[in-house]
Amino acid sequence: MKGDQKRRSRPNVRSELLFLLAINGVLIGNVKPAVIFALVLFSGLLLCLFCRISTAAKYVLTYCLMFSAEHLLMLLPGISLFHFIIVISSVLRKFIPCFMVGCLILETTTPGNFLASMQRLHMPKVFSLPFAVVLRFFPTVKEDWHSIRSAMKLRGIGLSFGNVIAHPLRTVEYIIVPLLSSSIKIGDELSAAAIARGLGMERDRTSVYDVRFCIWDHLLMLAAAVFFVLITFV
Amino acid sequence: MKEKLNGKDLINIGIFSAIYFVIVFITAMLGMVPILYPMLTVICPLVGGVVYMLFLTRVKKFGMIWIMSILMGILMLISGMSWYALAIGVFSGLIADLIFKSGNYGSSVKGVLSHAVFSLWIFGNYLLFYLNHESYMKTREEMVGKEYVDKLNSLLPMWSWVVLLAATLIFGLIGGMMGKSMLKKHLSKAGIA
Amino acid sequence: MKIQFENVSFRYESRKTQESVRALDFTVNDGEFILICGSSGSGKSTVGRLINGLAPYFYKGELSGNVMLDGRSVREIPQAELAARIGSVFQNPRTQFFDTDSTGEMAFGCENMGYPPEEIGRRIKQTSAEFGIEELLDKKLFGMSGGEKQKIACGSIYAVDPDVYIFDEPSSNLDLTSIRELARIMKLLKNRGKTVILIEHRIYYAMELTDRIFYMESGTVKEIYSRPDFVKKPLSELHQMGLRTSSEELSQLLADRVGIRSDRGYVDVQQLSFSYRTTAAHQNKTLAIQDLRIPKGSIIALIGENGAGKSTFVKCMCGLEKCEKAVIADNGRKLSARQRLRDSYLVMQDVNHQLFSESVEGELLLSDPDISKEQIESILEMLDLGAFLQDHPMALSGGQKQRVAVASACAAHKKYLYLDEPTSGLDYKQMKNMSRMIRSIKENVSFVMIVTHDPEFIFECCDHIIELEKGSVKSTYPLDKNGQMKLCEHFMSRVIDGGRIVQQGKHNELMQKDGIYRTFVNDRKKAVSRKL
Repeated sequence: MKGDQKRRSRPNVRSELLFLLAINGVLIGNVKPAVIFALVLFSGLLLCLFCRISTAAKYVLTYCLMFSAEHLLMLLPGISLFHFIIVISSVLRKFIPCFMVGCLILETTTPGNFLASMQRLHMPKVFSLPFAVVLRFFPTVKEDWHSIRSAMKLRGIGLSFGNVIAHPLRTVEYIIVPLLSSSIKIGDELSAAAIARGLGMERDRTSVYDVRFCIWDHLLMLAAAVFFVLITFV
Repeated sequence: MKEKLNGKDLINIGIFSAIYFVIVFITAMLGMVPILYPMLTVICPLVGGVVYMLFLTRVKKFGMIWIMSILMGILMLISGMSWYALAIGVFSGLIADLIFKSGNYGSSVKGVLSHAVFSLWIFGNYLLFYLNHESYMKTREEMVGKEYVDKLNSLLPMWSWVVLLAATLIFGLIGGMMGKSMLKKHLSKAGIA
Repeated sequence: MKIQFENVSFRYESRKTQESVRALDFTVNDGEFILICGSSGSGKSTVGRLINGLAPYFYKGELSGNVMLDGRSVREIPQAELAARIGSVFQNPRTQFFDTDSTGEMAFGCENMGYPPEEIGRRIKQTSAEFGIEELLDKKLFGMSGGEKQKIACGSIYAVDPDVYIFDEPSSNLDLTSIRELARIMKLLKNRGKTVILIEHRIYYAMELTDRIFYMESGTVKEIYSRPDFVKKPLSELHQMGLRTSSEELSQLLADRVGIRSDRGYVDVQQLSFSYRTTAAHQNKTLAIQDLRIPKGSIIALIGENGAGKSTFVKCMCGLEKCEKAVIADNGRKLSARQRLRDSYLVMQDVNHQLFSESVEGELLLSDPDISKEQIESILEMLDLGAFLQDHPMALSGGQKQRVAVASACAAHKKYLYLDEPTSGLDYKQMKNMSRMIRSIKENVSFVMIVTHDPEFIFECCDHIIELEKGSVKSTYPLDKNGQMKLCEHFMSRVIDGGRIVQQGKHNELMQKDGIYRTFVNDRKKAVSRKL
């Protein structure tokens, strides 16, 4: 089926975003720990199915570690330090499920797919195009970042603890200047190539991606409703 | 005199938003030590200033800053920080855009000012805690006891949000100014700015 | 499509003092294959940009005169129509793709045109069949090699099916195999009667397809040659024009090698093994170097196909990647990863990532805060950078930036210098300068190792070869007379004829058959014996 209209068997970014919005309540209110845990597992499942298992494992394990650490510390005598760690941990770990879904979106949505999906939603190009470029640009910035870090290591100005503490601003300067110059150059070349191939504001684009909802989208939207209820009312 | 944003502008917005976000994100990760958490609203504008000021040299039309602000909010939402940054960003971005526009897209003073306002989206993330303070504290009470929670509350009183808001604006100003000087030092010489 | 330039001049907004091209006046007929060559800065790229409309729509500037496409001025044709009728392939495979998925990228142009999805699907199918790139579909672009990306870029344009193709130095970042495949695609275009404008330093891979050659200098078209006239030109004249030698003509470059020394000792590498975690970019690639002797005091070329592990090897040697079991010793003295990191320097392919200061002087001071003024002067003198002491590194040209990077390595008293593809996109003169620079610093470091697939460059400046294949060392030899023959064989081991692999096999087999290979080897032997 290569080259034909692409039907991906994974949820579309629209339903992923909906799911993310639905579970945002986890950050706000008092949610039962069991529900949060179920959410973490579900997000982990999504990552396993549509992204990488290692990523899923990483986050689920982190959550479990934090949860266990808190409850262990609660059993011990109440020193201020322990209390502090418990509070911080219990706050931070609630961000994990949302972060996981965010990871899913960023890792599995391609710029072209995003543009096509947003066009379906009739989202104006002024928003969808820059965001598509963000999606396109993140991996490039990541590559550049690694490269710059290597270069810094070779020059002895690397991101070691000592360097960051001793001259924080200069270290930041060392990172930002090459990153900016490189990104601008890439950005210019990227724009020129896109414009030369007809990217513009005038016409509606079509897409080779088939962005109709598939079974995964319906399941995901159902899950979104379920979790929304669980989070808000239970 | 409204000129429409064309493809090149939109791509520029996307690129600078990506860079700004990555830099802010990395800084936040590096400063993730919980004690420094309130400090992030100070550090991020400082670091992002140069990116923003460089972006301004390519902004000549209305809407570019506003869209960037909204993009920051959306990215915050996606990275799990909820929609408060977005809610703030919609307004602060508009105001920042208008400020820069009033200087006809050429005044560096207005540019620095607009960065201060623009940076408010970072503050938006803290609203998440302030507005939901009670429900947070209730759970903590169950975990560590009312006494400790009261102690924490006294450390970070409710009115501290004013301090953070002011700090964001002030360091937004400083960040913008530092950005401007770094631009002059490096990138104008290099012919990029 | 007929293209006419009527007294066209263009000046970029950012370069207020100088016009980029002046008084261009020529015609390109429908279906012609034009090669535009000239040194860097001669204005070649600007010609391409004037045709596809990027100048002045994207690259702002002043345009005078008329660029006419089929009788209509480019100024009057909307950008959308220009994109439909003129396709452009650019130099850098890394930065010209918009989508991150290869099929999505192939569809990008068509999607912008608004073609219905079934039509797009059909075109992609047809393009991938004709190019032979079906296996590249539905893959992540970030994991592909430069050559594969460039093929997808061509495919993306082909799917739109424009009348005119503009290639702006498309072979710059490609290895020899990828260049041959690019040539094959160009032949396809020629056969379909498309108008092709190829802007290049390396002319040999498309020479048989070319109808006319435009030589540009300082912004004007100095000379227009027909192909028969052009191929008669001697190699030296081609070099004058900035053009690079082809691998077929390498035999003319063989020379006595002075300076191959084996008296400085060796850096021994043992048990260097490394394997990438399985990500999209590096699937199951492993490096296993058992026993390698690197002669000190020499300039080594590290060659091998894409994916053989060259860059990985260099990173391990520099201490940038962890290879715990490796034992690397300099004349017996073991070097830990930290020591290697401190004593090595890698000039990367993208030099923009390694310049951090606001002046060249600052860059050297960064390497060694205690460096004296005299030392700074002598290093800059050696590298021909004396005039740029106070300039911002980012304002310099690509070649100058590379020299600044090397200068910073010298200032930091680095012992092991590595360079990753330093000659991508350089014309003949620049390549010679690069080679001269490397030879001049040879004495300051323990060795120089260059990852490259540029045979001309290797002949110019290297004395030793290490060849990697699939993660291990295939062979290593000095570039004496035998070594040079061996190297020629390596680059000729797949003989081409119009882009197809015509003769493949071992040296002995090919010598038995009557064909290009035997003729070449015999010619070469004669050339070598003449030089002695």
